[in-house]
Order: sequence, then structure tokens, then C-alpha cells
Amino acid sequence: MIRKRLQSSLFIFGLVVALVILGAFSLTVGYAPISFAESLSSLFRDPDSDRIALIVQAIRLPRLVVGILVGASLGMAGAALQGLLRNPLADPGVIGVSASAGLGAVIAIYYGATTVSTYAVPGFAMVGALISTTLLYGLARKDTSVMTLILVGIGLSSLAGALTSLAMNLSHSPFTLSDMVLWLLGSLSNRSFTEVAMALPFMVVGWICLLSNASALRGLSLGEETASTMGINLFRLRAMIVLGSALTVGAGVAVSGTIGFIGLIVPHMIRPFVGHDPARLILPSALGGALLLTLADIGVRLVPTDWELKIGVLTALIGSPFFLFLVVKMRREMR
Amino acid sequence: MSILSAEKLCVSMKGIPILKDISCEIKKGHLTGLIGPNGAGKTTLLRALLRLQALEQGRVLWKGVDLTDRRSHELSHEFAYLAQSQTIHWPITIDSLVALGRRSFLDPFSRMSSGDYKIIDRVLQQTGLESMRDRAITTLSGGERARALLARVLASDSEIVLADEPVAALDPYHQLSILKILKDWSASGHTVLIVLHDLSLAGQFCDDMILLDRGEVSVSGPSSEVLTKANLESTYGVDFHLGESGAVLPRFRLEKGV
Repeated sequence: MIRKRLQSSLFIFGLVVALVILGAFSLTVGYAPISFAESLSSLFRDPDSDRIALIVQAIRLPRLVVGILVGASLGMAGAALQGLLRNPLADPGVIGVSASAGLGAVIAIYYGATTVSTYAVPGFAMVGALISTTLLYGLARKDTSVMTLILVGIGLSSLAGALTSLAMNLSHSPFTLSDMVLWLLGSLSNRSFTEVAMALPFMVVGWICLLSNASALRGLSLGEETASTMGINLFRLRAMIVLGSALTVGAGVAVSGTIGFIGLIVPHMIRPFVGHDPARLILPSALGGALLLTLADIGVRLVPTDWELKIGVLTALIGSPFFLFLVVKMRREMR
Repeated sequence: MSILSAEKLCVSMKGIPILKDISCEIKKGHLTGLIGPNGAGKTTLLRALLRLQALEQGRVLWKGVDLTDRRSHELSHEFAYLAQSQTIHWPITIDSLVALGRRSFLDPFSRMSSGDYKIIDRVLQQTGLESMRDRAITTLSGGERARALLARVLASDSEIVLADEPVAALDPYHQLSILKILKDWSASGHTVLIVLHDLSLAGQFCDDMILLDRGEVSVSGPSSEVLTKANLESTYGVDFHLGESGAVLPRFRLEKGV
């Protein structure tokens, strides 16, 4: 057991190192050709007088930071939800948080709130996530089963999807419509530290909710009834995981649009490295999510398309076949 | 001395009474068997004693205190539950499964101490799983899996273990080894209550028995008093041959006035 703890510390260390290297590399990727050494040294130069420092510090660095934060949030929320629902197919998308945050943003765009304040879209997205989580919790509160939670999540997801379609249907101008669609596709480009500053507090609170309840997720390996005889307060655990996911994912969607499947893929890839322990999975999944989203963001910049590919499109293109693969594999194992 | 007692428990599900006015006592340091035909209410009674089942009437006393007056996280130190055909949702190792018995493994703000590790080692030794402690649960045979699940319960070092059919679907060797472990556990001062279907095994290992019949206690007391031809035949509707070796052999169905 002590050896396992050492192994997982080493594993976390390895992920951090990989993230640092990949992050440094991502600063060199973009329209302007900037070498590795130059991009690193420009981090410490004055952006007002230096054009390259301006590109790196004002464009590429915020993009990298947003990518890391959103990826970490999605990865961690995915791992925590999979532990709570004891289902490797669970994802922040499943409980309806992503769709509701997307709806919030679409409503803000619909009413032209973007012209009033740059905070409008992210703010509305976060409110959307919080409302749906409160609803989810209210509807699934009395029932102790995970099935109810999933079904209510699916219901809320479809409702948010339907209302999003309604807003698009009624939108007054093609520009508003294209704004909505582009925003829903998810992207990390043109982000600034303003967005980071807005999302970070919510994410940090969410991360604390998730990390502080990780150990209790272990007890759920034996099902809810046995877990409750082990002294785990299921009511509190469920509330904390759902709230933590809403905060992290809501804040993530608020600054980057809807980026799917990170929360599904990452925990699945990490699990064998941590002995399938649902508690030890949480932190590495956050790092893995950051790593994967950074990688995907480098990918969309390197793919030679006329318009830069939206990152949400790329993750969905890779994620959905992966989801189907998981379903087929699980069905085979169940038999 | 009775450590856990049920007083006039009534439970019904969807209007159908499952437990009707059940009162029984479980003695400290004894291995008590809960026996009876299918549908007699054995599992429901076990769940009621663990507060997993809402009571319509009656109360459960643990060391003389009503269970509803106790906080559930405190009770988790004193009660351990081994569910019938327990599912394990992730392919974790035996090691990690057994560690689930330790409270500090589940608590976010504490770490496993060397004492915890010692207890895990001891329990793995008791259940003969030491050499395979790093194996994943999914690679185990039914018997090994049953022992691993039992090891988790023992690792909690709880005062009372309640196990629902811990030897169901096991070969005789594993049935005997599981019951021997539980017998030794009760001999070391712990209290054990198990649901059993095999009456010969029950007679061989249990100190006391509670015989349930359609939601009521038919007889309870020392095994020798419960396990009589007359008691069994009236409850099970089957003719039994009670051998001198302790074997309880069902022979044919008695035509009850049905």
C-alpha cells in the first residue's frame, strides 16, 4: 500500500513535468513563428515595447492558462462523477451542467448582453450551471439512487438543449445566430487574463469540493448501502460532488464554450495507473485533462485549415467514437 | 448478555407485511445464525438491525441504546455489514478492498497509520490472502472473492459483524473456511450474526439461532434447542433427517394444509 502511494506520487510528478514541457511548447505554436528559446525569454520582457513579448504574454499565455484550467476542471469533474455514479461512462455532460451553462451563454447573446459587458456571457453561463445543479439536486434529493440522478440529468440536458434551440430559432439576426453557434462550439482562442480571473475563484472552490471528498468515493466501490454502513454520509457526498462539478464545469464553459468528452476520456486513461482507485484518480485526472486539452489546442493550431478548427469540434470528433468504443467494450465485458 | 436486541419490529413493503412484531436478542461474543425459508424476512431483519430499512414500528437497541439516537458515522465503527452477493464496482486490488474496512482510508482528512497497515496485514493472513494481495478483484475465483470481502469486514474491527449469506454458492472447502474465520472472530470477543441456508453448517458453527417463519420468530435460543425435527418441519414444510454427525438432511416435502 505504501508502495502504491509512492507510485501515484511519481505518476503525478510525471504528469506535472509533461504538462510544463507541453505548455512551454504550446507557446511556440501560432501564426507568428517564434522559436522555443525566444518564446520563453519573451515571457520576461516588457510587452509594451516588444512585439514578440506582446504576442506571447497577451495572446498565447492566457490561451494556455485557460486551456489548463478548463482541462483540469473537466478532467477532475469527470473522474469525480464517474466515482459517484460508479459508471465509467459518466461525464459532466451527463448531469446536464454543460448544456445548461451553454444555455445561459446563448441567452446572454440572444439579448445582446455582450454589448453591455464582457462579463455577460460567462456570467450567464455560470448562472445557468448553478440553476441546473440546484434543480438537479432538488429533484433527485429525496431519492437515494444514482439512477434518478442520471435520469434527471438527462432530462435537464434535453430541456437546456431545447431552450438553446428555441433561442437560436428566434434570434433576430444571422450575426447573433453565428455568435451563438461559434460560442457553443467551444474555443480557447482570444482569451485574456480577465477571463482567467473571473473563472478561477469558482474553479478553486469546485476543486476543493471535489478533492476533499475524494476518499469517500472509495466507499462507493461497494455500493451505496454498504457505503452508508461504513459511515459515509451519502447525502453530503452527493451534494459536494454535484456542486463541485457544477462550479468547475460551469466556470469552464463560461470561459471556453462547451468542450465535451475530456471528462470522459481522461479518467479512463488514468485509471489503470492508479489501480482503479476512485480517490487516487481525481488529481491525476485533473492534470491529465489539462494535458489533453493543451495538446488538443496545439492540434487545432497545427491543422492546416482555412479557418482555425474549434477545439470543441476536435474533442467531439475524437471523443464520440471513443465513447462508442467504451460502450461496446463494456457490453462485451458484461456478458 | 444481549448486546443487540430488536423490540417488536414491524416492516412492510408496498403494503405487504414483511416483518411482523419481531423481537429477538443477540448475545455478545456469540455466533448467531439467522435461518428460515425464502421470504421469511431474514435479509429484511438484518437490514432493519443496520438501519438500512425503515421501521414501521418497534426499535433496535444496541447496548441498551436506541439505534435512532446514535449518529451513523459513530455506528460505522461498531457495525460492519457484508451484503448478499456484494458487488465491487471497480477492479481494485485485494489490498485496496481490505483497506476500505479502515475508516482512515475513507476519511479525507486523515492518513492510514502504521496501525491500520498492521491490521490489514493481520486480516489478510487470517483469510489466507497474503500471497495474492496485489491481485485485482476481477481475477479472483468465487471463494477467493468471498474471503476478500470478508477480510474487508474484519479489517474494520467492528464489535458486531452482520453477514447476509456469506457462504452462498461456495464449495464445501470455502464454506468451512469462511465459517471457521467467523467462528474464530466471535471467539475473540466479537459478535457475529449471519444469514445461513445450510442447516447442517448452521448447526455445526452457530452458538445461537433465530428461526424465522413468514415474518415472525418461530423459535430462538441455543442451536441445540432451535434445530429440532419438530421446529424445522413446521417451519420449512419438509421432513428432515437429523443425523448423529449433525447433518440435517431434507428428505421430502410434507403436504401442509395448502
